[in-house]
Amino acid sequence: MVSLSWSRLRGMAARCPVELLLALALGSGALLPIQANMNAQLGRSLGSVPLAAALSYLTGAAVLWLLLLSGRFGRPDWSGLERAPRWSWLGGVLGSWYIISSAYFVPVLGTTMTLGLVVGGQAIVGVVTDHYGWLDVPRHRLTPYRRVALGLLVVSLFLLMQGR
Amino acid sequence: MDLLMAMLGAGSGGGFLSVGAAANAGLRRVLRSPVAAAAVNFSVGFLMLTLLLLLGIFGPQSFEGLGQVPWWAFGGGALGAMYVTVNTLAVARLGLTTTTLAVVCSQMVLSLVIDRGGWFGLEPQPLRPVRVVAIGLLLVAIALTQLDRDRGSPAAPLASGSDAGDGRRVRRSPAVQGLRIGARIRGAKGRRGLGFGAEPSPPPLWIGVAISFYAFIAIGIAEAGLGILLPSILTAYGLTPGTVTLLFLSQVGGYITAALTSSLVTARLGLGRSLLVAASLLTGALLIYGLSPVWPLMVLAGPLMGLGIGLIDAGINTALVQEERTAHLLGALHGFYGLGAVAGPAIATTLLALGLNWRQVYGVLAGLTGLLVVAVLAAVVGRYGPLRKRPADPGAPAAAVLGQALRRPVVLLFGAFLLIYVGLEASFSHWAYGVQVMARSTPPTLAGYGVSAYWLGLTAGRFLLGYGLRSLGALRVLSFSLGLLLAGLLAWWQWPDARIGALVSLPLIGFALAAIFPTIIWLIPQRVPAALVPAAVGFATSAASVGAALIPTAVGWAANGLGLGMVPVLMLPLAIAMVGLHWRLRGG
Repeated sequence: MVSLSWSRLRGMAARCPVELLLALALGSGALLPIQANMNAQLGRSLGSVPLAAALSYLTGAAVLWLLLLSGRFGRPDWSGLERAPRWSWLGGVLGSWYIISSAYFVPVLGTTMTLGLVVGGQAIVGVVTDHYGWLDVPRHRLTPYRRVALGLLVVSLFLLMQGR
Repeated sequence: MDLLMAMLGAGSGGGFLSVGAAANAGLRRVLRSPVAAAAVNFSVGFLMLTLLLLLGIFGPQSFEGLGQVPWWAFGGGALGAMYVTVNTLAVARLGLTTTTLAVVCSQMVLSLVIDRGGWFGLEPQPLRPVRVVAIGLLLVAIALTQLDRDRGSPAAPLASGSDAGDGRRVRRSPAVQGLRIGARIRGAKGRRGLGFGAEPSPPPLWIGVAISFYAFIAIGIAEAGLGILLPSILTAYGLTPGTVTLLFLSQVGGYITAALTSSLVTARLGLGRSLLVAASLLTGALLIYGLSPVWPLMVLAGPLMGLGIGLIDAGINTALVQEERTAHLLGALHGFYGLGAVAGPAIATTLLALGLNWRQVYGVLAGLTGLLVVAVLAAVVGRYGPLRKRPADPGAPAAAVLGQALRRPVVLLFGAFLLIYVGLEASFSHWAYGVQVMARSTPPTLAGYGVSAYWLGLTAGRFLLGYGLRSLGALRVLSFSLGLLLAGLLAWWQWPDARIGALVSLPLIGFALAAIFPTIIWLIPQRVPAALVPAAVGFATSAASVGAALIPTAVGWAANGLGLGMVPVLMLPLAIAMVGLHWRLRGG
């Protein structure tokens, strides 16, 4: 019964006009630079970026657990945790490096450059992991398109640096 | 200069995010709930950061600034949570491509707006055309990778399906099947590792594995503890820094003997007994160090120590790599050596701080290796199977086999590779701290963190190695490691800033070095006939120990003349020599 809410939400999303969902996706993307700046401010006020990242994770985790407890977001299959590959627990550890580095670099480099570099790094690593099929990601070989894309990425990161 | 650091720092953030996303997809598949996966994810991140903060990795912290934090700055985490939730809803309908593009697009545009307006208390930056072009290109690039993912490969719909985290839609995509097989292998390994093997007949392997791991921790401690004790020994006997290096050099004789005899000893005595002899030699040498009334006796004990360490090193490496069931443990084995090497100085420092003198510290170290003697003795007396094994009879006298092995160029190549490699690794552990503190006037704590970061990188790399070998193959792992090593060395040389050293270059170097030793050992059975493997491994590991004694000493002498600041430069030719050897290895 409880899981109905999440699926209903999903059902609503499915009935939503695509434009609305697109707006939603755009909105969620816009959250990221704001988040980076909030964390940066927290780091500056506290005088410690790692401490800020820990607090940020704490509030984020609290919000997510509250959402879960509200029962509107489905009933997770906790027994699955045992079956989860061990490295899949490390997502948070890796993510915390992103939070720390973005909070550290935003005041130094500006939001655009920081997030540009983040996106670039993300895409490059994504293409590489796809190519080798690491981490149980479905394998996607490096096609000519992707080579061009990697080249463009490098050029765009270079240009981003020039604008400083 | 700052720019490269920025690229490494922020770019790696994105890279980790990408890997983290893959990890998260794994959690979502089993939990069947994206929100729960994100909750686990955030909690793990929080716990890890808290742990690191409590351990003092980031230095002392204070909450004094808490009062001055503007209220909105606490919202970052909540926004992250919102992002995850909204994003999953959108992905389910729009697909991964469109969602990613939309997210990146709005992210970058808003970033430009924030920078231009100088929001959040930062100074405004004018909107430059070149940046707009850059972001346009970035979007095109992302679009290309994403579109290609959807069209290019038949598995594409599954990819977006499983990435969307929709539990009902998880099909048996190749990735999921890979996951299951992986889980099965892991499960089997786990059972074997815990000694619950379904088949009762063969003796449990975990005893041997545990002894091996402990042996490597012990030799790590014994080798690395020496550095901390040197100053005390120096004053006790009234030596100079020049004469004290005799202690290192005296061990070389033992290593060379081990190189030439380890395969003979194992063939004669069997693995268990030769380990017993080796552990006893090592313990005896440490006891002599602790009890010796005169300096020359210490020097005389050096070869015993070298021989003990060399025999343990060669015997266990050979045994693990020859047994198919344990070859994948090589990385972990050397990881445990790294743990010992991290713990050794820490144990020695702590004991000294507790008021023990250096002789008593040697007593404690001898006790630690004495435990190994006891364990091996118990295994030998209890007729524990895996340790009773002797190398397959090569059908020729052991000495002749050794001769045959040494006549193979590839064996000499492996030996040279390890000699240089271990020399480099030991040079780091000896000199990195000195370079940071003396030549670059880094505060000692920061330099200490740098050295710990180096060891942390090394240890992490070794525990990850099994994975790398499986998915990349040995030669690619080596290419990758050497590339990283060159990059790390260049970074260490070019950016003397202590923070870069501690955060980027030293851990990078450690990580790059991690794979080399175990990978070479792993390669030996692939390139050398089975009958010659013990002799080849024995030779290679002992050549490595020779390198560990000679190269840091040579680097030290060179640094005496040129200044400590030149140490990073001195290491570059060593790394380049390894690249050359690797090139030969690939060719032949």
